[in-house]
Amino acid sequence: MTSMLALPTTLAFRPFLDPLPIDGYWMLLLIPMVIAISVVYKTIKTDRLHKIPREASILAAQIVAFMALAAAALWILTELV
Amino acid sequence: MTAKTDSPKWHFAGAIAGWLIPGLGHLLLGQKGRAAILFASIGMLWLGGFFVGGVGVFDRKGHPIWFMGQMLIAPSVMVEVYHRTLKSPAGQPPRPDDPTGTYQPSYGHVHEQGVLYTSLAGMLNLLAMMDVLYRDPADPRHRKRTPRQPQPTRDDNNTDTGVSPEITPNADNSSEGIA
Repeated sequence: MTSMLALPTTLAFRPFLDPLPIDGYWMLLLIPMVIAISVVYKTIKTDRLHKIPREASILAAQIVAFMALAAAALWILTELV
Repeated sequence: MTAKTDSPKWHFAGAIAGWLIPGLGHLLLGQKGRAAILFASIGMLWLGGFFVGGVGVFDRKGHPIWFMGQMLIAPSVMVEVYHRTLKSPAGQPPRPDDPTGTYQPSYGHVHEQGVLYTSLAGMLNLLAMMDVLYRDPADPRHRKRTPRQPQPTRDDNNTDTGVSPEITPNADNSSEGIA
């Protein structure tokens, strides 16, 4: 009986103890990662803070574009060649 | 400026502060805006990885190379120590199908993303720490702005010298060497 009462609480998601069930969407996590890399890099490299949003956006777009190009090239290499 | 103020400065205390909390080193050097952005971006990345993968992503023995990246943020070390306390006395994680386990180990893509996020946050924090550690006063990024001085009006300059003043777009960029 005690174990049955405890079951709903133990099965509940415990933040930072249990992993998120997002195995199907893991590729979407690329976007926040790229944004964070761009923002941190440009925060350190840029002399004026008001330039950061524009420069970080450009860098993030470049990273995503080149990753997509690399993925397409690898797909062509593995599937078609 | 004298040669003394032009010489690069090393800020070991600031770098250590940046290791403890991302952005704290920049805050100690008076760069509040940079500190806030670094704290938010690195902190969110680290916290995001921790949230996605759970406490199991901090595993010094399981993936020591990745942990070298994670430990570039001090809280990772504390979480790893806490993770060890959650394991069995034999050092084994709880079984994934055990609902009464102290925590749920992560596997697959979720584990990879959690480890990647937290390690990347640590490596980005290393960049921030290096930026604090070595300061070259000649570098415009490392200068502290002084309060804006009242600009002379166009009429004043014309009457005094007869020469039209140069109006630069970055007239408020007056800066002073830091530290």
